[in-house]
Amino acid sequence: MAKLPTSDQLLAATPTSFPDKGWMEIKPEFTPGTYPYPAKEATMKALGFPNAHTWAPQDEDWNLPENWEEIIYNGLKERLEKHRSLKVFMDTCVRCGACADKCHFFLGTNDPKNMPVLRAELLRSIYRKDFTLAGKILGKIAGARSLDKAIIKELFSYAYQCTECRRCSLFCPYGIDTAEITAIVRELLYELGLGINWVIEPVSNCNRTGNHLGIQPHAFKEIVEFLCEDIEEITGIHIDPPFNEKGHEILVIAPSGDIFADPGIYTFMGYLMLFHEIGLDYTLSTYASEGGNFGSFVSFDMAKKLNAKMYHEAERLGSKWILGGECGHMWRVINQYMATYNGPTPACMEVPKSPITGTVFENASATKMVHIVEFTADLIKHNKLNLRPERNDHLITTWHDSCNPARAMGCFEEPRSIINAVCNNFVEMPEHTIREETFCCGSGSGLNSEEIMDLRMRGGLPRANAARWVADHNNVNRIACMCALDRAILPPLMDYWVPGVDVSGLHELVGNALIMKGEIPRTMDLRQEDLEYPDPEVEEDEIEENGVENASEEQDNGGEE
Amino acid sequence: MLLMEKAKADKDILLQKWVDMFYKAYPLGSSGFVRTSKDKFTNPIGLITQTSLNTLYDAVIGEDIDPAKVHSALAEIVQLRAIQEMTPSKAVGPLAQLKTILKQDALSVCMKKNNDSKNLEKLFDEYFIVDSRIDALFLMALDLYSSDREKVFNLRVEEVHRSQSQVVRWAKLREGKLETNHNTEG
Ligand code: SF4
Ligand code: SF4
Repeated sequence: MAKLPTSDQLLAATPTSFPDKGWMEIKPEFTPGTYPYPAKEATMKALGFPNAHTWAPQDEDWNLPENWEEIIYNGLKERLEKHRSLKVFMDTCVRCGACADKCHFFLGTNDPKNMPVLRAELLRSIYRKDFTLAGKILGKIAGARSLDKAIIKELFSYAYQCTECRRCSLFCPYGIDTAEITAIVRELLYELGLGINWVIEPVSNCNRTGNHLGIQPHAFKEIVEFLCEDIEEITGIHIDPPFNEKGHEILVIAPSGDIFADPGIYTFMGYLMLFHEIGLDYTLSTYASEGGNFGSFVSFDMAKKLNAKMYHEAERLGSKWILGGECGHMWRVINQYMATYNGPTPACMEVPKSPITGTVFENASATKMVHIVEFTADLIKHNKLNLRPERNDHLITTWHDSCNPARAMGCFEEPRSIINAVCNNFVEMPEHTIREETFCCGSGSGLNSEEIMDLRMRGGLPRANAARWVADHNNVNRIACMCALDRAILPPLMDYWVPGVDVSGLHELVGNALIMKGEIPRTMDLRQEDLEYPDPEVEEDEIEENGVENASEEQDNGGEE
Repeated sequence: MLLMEKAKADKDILLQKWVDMFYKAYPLGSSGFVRTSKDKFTNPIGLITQTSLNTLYDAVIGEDIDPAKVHSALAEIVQLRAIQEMTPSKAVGPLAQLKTILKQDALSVCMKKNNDSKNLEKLFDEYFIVDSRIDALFLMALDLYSSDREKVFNLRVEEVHRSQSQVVRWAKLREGKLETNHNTEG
């Protein structure tokens, strides 16, 4: 009789993903589901990338350009000279390990190379070899290694298992920002012609039409109008937002996910309702039709190029300042780089001042751009909105601090003040998983492509795990956030780990609670789902009164325009 | 109840052995971390593995546990393993290794101490019960694993739909497929 192995033998013989060798010796493996699809050669070429070529991560040979070593060497040299921070990050790590267990990818995979210290070490080992004396002489003993093609594969693998969320840098005594190191590694890979489709397609679309999906102006306008029809269905109020109109005080730029994708559209409807209600003097633009910037996941130059349209459009339309939607990485680009990339601001722009409360947003004096969450929090603080939080009583909401606006912008209190005003049931996730220590959604920085869904479920586990805690203990059924990528990424993450928890932006909740002049009693929320506690029927004379008031207001607005 | 008592008395050690069988799937360099970090929120892999297996262990040795709780404990550990880049056997296989642990560390010890035929018979009967409970868990795990994988595939499809819902709505309208009474061309 043939001898079957025992189950113990079988399991012992099944290879783990991680053989037991020193980290420098382990080569990355590319099995389907572990890597994002490569960018198309034609698209890369059209965008002017050098060395664009056809390649596939699972292939042995990545068809690197012949002088690939020189490209990496020169590329790194140039960036070390350009970014002082990079040199400091390369030199100062003392390998104390404080960052090691702070990365969601490490916590979800337990792969040691997902410890931020090792992720950075992948580049550092090349840096040591070529740019430090000790490395040149001592080699491996000094943590240095020479380039070989497998190292390029490794850089690719781990640069695309980092969402540039910066949680690790919070815990590093030297403030080493692994996100910046990842960004540089990705830049270097692009120089070799190695890009990913999920990032390059939106970049290319943005370059052509202004937004990630490549939607053209007429379609953009008509889609916004659909959303206005939906608003009318729910509230009885007709909104006619201006497009590309000159002479308005404010240019509104939202991430396009809020216009094209579920559940972002409900957030966008919330913006439109709010603007209508407070009589904001604004315009949308079908050219600056994207706040997001996938260029920032490619290179500094690409980020700069795609970002320029915001000021161009403000200048063309004569806007005084820009009100930006609930986005994450958009604000990283704006706050960290925009002034240097695209500044100085056009002459027509002024330090943003809320026309309703008079608050001057000094924090935005350099960029002239205000995050809508700051704007609305200010309205609420000054009691400028009529709200009925009971309309959100079917929800028990928790708040996901989106990495960029939270950790990078310090936007912690504003969203909470809004939630507390528009929802009666708000529950915080456990400490050490919120505010500056917030866990990433697991798929930011261009990692939200469907082909790596498994990887995303691993990376998002720490976030989901904290959400599951409040779902189990406090019956939370909604997770709100202020980032369009989160609104795309959290739904599958919740569906997998915490089914029953839906995702929404903050202004969806604002839109639900906002009492609008002349509206019909609401029976539905913005998703057109029945409200658990519909508005009481209004007496007839009340409706008339409101109606008249509303009509005269609209006339006022018309006059201003 | 000789075997069950032994398994209950030595739970800490035996459970830890079982947990370690699951941890073997993780690289040695980091599995120290899953073992040592006790924080619920900063070590989710450790938390899920420990708490799920704790419940399942009790269920196997016959403690009185709500079947729904057993099912959800099993679902949690399988859900974790199903997305961790493992072969299916690696993902759920360690469940069955509790048999090895119980045989080596409980049954054989009990057999040495109680080697008269009456006691041996009792011991075997007890073991067969345990053995079939583990089989039941294993069968449930198979179903859970495959439904988790299906779930991941569905997530991928649903995401594509969500990401361009309004563009599809627009395109359908353009094709005249969607009824609307509002003239958007106006
Ligand atoms: S915390 Fe900072 S210094 Fe310590 S290992 Fe991490 S990157 Fe290096
Ligand atoms: S930036 Fe975020 S994803 Fe990248 S290594 Fe640090 S913690 Fe991990």
